[in-house]
Amino acid sequence: MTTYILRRVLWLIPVLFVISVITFLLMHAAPGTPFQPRSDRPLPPAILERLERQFGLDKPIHEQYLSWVANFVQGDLGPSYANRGRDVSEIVGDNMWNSVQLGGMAFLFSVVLGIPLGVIAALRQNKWPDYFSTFFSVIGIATPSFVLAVLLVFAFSLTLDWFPTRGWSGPEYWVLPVVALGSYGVAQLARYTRASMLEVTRRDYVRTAQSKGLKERTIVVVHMLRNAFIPIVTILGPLLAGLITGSFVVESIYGIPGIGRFFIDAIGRRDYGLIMAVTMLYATLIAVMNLVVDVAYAWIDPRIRYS
Amino acid sequence: MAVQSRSDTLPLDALQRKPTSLWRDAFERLLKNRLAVVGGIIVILLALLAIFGPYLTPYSYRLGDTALIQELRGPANPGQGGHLLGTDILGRDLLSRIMDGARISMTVAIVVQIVTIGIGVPLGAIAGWYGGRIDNALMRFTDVVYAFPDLLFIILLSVVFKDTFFGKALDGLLLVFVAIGVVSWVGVARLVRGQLLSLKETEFVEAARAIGVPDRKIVTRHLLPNSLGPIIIAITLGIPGAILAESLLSFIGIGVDPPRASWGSLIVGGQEWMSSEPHLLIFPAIAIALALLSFTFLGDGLRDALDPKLKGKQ
Repeated sequence: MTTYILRRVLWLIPVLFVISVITFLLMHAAPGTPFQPRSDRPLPPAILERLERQFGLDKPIHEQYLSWVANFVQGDLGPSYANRGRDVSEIVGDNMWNSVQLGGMAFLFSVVLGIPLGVIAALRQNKWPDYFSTFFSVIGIATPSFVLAVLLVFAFSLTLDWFPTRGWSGPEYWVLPVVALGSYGVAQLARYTRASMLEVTRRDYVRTAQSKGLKERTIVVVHMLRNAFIPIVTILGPLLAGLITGSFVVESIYGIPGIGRFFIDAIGRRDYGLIMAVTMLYATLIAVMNLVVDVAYAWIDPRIRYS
Repeated sequence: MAVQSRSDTLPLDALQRKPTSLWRDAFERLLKNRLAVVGGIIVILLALLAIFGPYLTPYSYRLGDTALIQELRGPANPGQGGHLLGTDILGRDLLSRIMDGARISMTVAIVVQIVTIGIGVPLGAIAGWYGGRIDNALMRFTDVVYAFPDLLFIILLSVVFKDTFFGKALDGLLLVFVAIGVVSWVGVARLVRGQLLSLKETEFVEAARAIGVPDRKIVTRHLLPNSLGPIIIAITLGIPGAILAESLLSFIGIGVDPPRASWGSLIVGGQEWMSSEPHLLIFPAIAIALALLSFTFLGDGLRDALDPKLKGKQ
C-alpha cells in the first residue's frame, strides 16, 4: 500500500506537467496579451514592445514555458500583470484560505446532512421519511447555487434581516454562502446514498444477517453502511474539490475575498502568472483528492487490491 | 415417467405468462411510477416546446416592443399588452425567450450526455474489467483530464476559440458542447470502473467465467446491466450539471451569444432587476427548476425500472 501511495504521488509530477503545458498553450493561444487583453484599446507599439521585453513575453513560447517551470520549481510564481506591484504568491496566499474555508464548510454541510438523509430514505423506502428526504434533495438539485444564493439574500438578508448580505468576517457571514454552495452536495450525496443503500439491502449477506436475528441497527451499521459507502466514496473527493474550485459564483455574489474571484478576473485580463498558479493549485488539490479516494476505496472494500 | 413429472411441476403461471424482455418489463414498471411518468411527460413537453415553440409564438425572442415599454415606462408585467409572461426591459417577450432558452438547454443537455456516455462507459468498462496495464494507461489518461479544474478548462477553451469559426458555430453552442463534453465524461468512466472493480469479484461473474462465457459478453451482459443504476443516476445528475455549466458560461459572458439567451443567462439578467421586476428572475428559474426536476424524476423511475434485482418484488 505504501509503495502504491508513493507511486501515485510521484505520478502527480507528470500529470501536473501535462496540465501545465496544456494550460500554458491555451492561455497563450487566447487572443490578446497581459498588457493588451483587448484589441479595442491598443497601447502604443513602442511601449507594448518595451513592456513585453521587460517581462520576457517577447521570447519564443518554449523559452517562456521553461523559465516559468524553473521559477515555479523554486516557488517563485512571478508578478501579477493585472495587479501591478503584487506577486502572484502574495495574492494566492491572501485569498486562498477564504475559498478553502467556504468549500470545506460547504463540504461538511453536504456530508452531515446528505448521507443521513440518504440512509433514512433508503431504510424507509416509499414512506414519508423517504419523500421528505427526496423533497430536500430535489430542491437542492433543481436550484442552481447562484439562484439559491440570490433567493437566500432576498429572503434572509433583505426581508428578514437575519444575516448580512456581503462579506466574510464572521460566523454570521458564513451561513448563507455555505448553504447556497453546499445544497447541491447535500442533494447529490442523499441521492447516491439512497441508491447505494437500496442496492445493498437486497444483497444475500444482509438477508443472512437478518435471518441470524441480528438487530436492525447492527445490520445497518456493520453490514450495509460499509458496503454502501463504496460508490459514495468515489464522489466525495470530487465533491470537495468541486466545492473549493467551483465557488467563484457564490464568492462574487456574497463579496467573499476568495481565489475564485481573482481567477475569473485573471482570465479576462490574461494575467498569465495568476492563471498558471491557480490552475496548478486546483489541479494538485483535485489530484490529491483522487488519490485519497482510491486509498479509501481499498480500505473500505478489502476485496479491492492495488498492486 | 420422470420426464412427465417434470413437465407437471413446471409452474403454471410461467406457462401462461407471455415471454417478456428485460426492457419491456422495465418499461411496464416505469409506467407504474407516477412521478417518473409526470417527469417523462414534462421532458417530452419541454422537448416539443423547444422544437415547435418558437414557431407558435407571435413574438420574436430578439426584437423588443419598444412602443409598449415606452408607454408603460418599463417592462410589461405578466399579462400586460398580450405578453403572457411579460417582457424584459427591452420589451422582448419573456415566454418567447424562455422557449428559445428551452431549445438551448435541451440541446446542451442531450448532446453533452451523448458525448459523456459514448466516451465514459466504454473506457471505464475496459479499465475496470482488464485491470493491470490497460487500466493503468486509461486511468493515467483520465487522471490528467480529471485533475484539470473543469471550469477553468471550459472557460479557457471558450476564451481561446470564441473568435474563431468554431467558436461562432451554432451561436456559440458548438463550443459549449465540446468544452463541457470533454471534461464531463471522466466522472462516468471512473464510476463504471469502480462498479466493475467491485462487481467482477462477485459469484455470478465467477460462475459465468467458469462455464466459459467470453469476456466481452460478461461485461456487456452481466457487469454493465448490473451497474446501470449508478450510471443512470450519474447521467440524470449530469444533465442538470451540463445545463448548469452552460448557464455558468453565460454568467461569465462566454456562453451562448446574445441576442439568444439560455435559461442561465435569463436568470443572470433577471437577478439585476429582482427587486423591481421579479418576474424576470422567477419565470426562468421556474423553467430551469421544472426541467431539472423532471429529468431527475424520470431518471429515478428509470433506475427503479431497470434494476433487474427488483423484479417480482413490486
